[in-house]
Amino acid sequence: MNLRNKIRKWENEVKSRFIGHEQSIHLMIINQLHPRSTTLIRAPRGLGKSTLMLLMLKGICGDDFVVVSGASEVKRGEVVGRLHIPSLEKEGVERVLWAAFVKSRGKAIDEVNRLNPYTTANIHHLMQFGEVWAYGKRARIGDYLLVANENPMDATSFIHPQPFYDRFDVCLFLRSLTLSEKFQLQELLEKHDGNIIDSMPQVLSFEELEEARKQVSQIELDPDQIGFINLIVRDFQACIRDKENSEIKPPTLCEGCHFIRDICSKIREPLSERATVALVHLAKATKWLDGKCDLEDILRMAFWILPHRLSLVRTRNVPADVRELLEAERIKMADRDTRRQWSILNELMKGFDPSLYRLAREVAVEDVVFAEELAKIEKTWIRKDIIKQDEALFSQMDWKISSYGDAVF
Amino acid sequence: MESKKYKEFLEHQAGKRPFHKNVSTEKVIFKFSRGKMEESPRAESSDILDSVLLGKEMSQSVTVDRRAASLLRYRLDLLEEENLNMQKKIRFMKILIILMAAAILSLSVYLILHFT
Repeated sequence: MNLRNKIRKWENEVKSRFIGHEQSIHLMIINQLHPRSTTLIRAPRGLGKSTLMLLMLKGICGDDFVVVSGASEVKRGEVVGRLHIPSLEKEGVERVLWAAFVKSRGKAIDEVNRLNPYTTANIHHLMQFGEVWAYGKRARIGDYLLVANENPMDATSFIHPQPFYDRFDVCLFLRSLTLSEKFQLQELLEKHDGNIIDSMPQVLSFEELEEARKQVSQIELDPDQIGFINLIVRDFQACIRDKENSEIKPPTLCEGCHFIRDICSKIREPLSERATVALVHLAKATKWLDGKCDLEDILRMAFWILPHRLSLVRTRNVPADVRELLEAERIKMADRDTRRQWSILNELMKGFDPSLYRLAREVAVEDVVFAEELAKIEKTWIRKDIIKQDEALFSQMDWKISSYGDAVF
Repeated sequence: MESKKYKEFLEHQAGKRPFHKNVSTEKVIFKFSRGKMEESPRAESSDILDSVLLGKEMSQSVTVDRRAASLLRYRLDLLEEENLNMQKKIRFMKILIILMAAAILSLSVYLILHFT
């Protein structure tokens, strides 16, 4: 059986034991196909967060994985490492016994929301730098897969920092089962004597997963796919008033802004660049496993990389809000196609053309991302004395371009 | 220096949505490339967005696909919303003007009575 078939078998084994959520399970499998993959499952109590997490890990690691539970009292020694007392007493040497969680390649965190801030900080460092520190000693962490779950509605939650959640590649939401699905679940429980997790076989080894990850990393995306990914992420970042560095945030910041009805005005804290990395990984893995990855697939996958990274101006129901934003994004993309704005930009990059420039200015007042790129070209034209500073769109619209070169606005 | 992949993306997009310039007086008109124009004879249907946004002449039948329809509906919703907001603002401004006129009138009456 080749690697792709093994990965598909892993997916099918999980799907046959977890009712509903077919798309989420497929996405979860896709997300395991890059090194140091991290997955967060969010759902209210009793919807199968832990079950799904354990099924995924059993499919690769068998019983060789470690679960850290936020619901129990987690000490540093259990997550990172503890001091070997006999060595200290007899030899006066500080030796660290690294925790099983550090050494294991299959890592699970149950109820992340209940983890104390110290444990969270250690896991954050592990995900960020691929290493852990204890008693002045460092342990390098090799490749792993980490699956975590949380119930954000839980009253005993700790509020973890946004950068911690940003380290998770994707965030999945689980829902309660429909009537027919409940019947399916009961049949499934009867079939496996009430123990679904124990019935899950190990489908492939971690070494085989590593080989699959290597093959996925060698996949090349075409310019359209990369462009589309970058556009989605930039649309969720761009702000003409520099909200990234502003102390005043939307909606106050957006008062009187020309782009008040754009996606940007609905986002309080923009996406990080990790969103691009996560989406590229997903696109490559989809291309490797499914043989294709079109623009619809990318837009659909974006749904899972956004919820835990975005902070919205008005939040009612996170998945529904994100879906609404992505729908607006789809319209925005269609609008861009209709305006043929990238063709215009392509021509302008080759050289100044007054009539095209006039058209580009009209486009720029409809699209912040296009406006940023036009501003860059305008700057080169100003340097070459092709146009004057006060003729540039940004001067006329009073959009402030920073005099410090790295910031666009 | 621009990224090679960024340039490739722009070129690829330009290739997919080509146009050729037809400069008549000062106005620039964008059309489909000549090849595409020949491929689509007048008897066939034309896209509504091309006529609305690019000023292209409509064919005998005009098609509206789901994406275009949702785009137009979205824009209409925005305009409706803007219309309502403007109406509110106008009403508010009218009240403000009436109040200010009343204030100016009463102030002038007071000043006339006080200084005469």
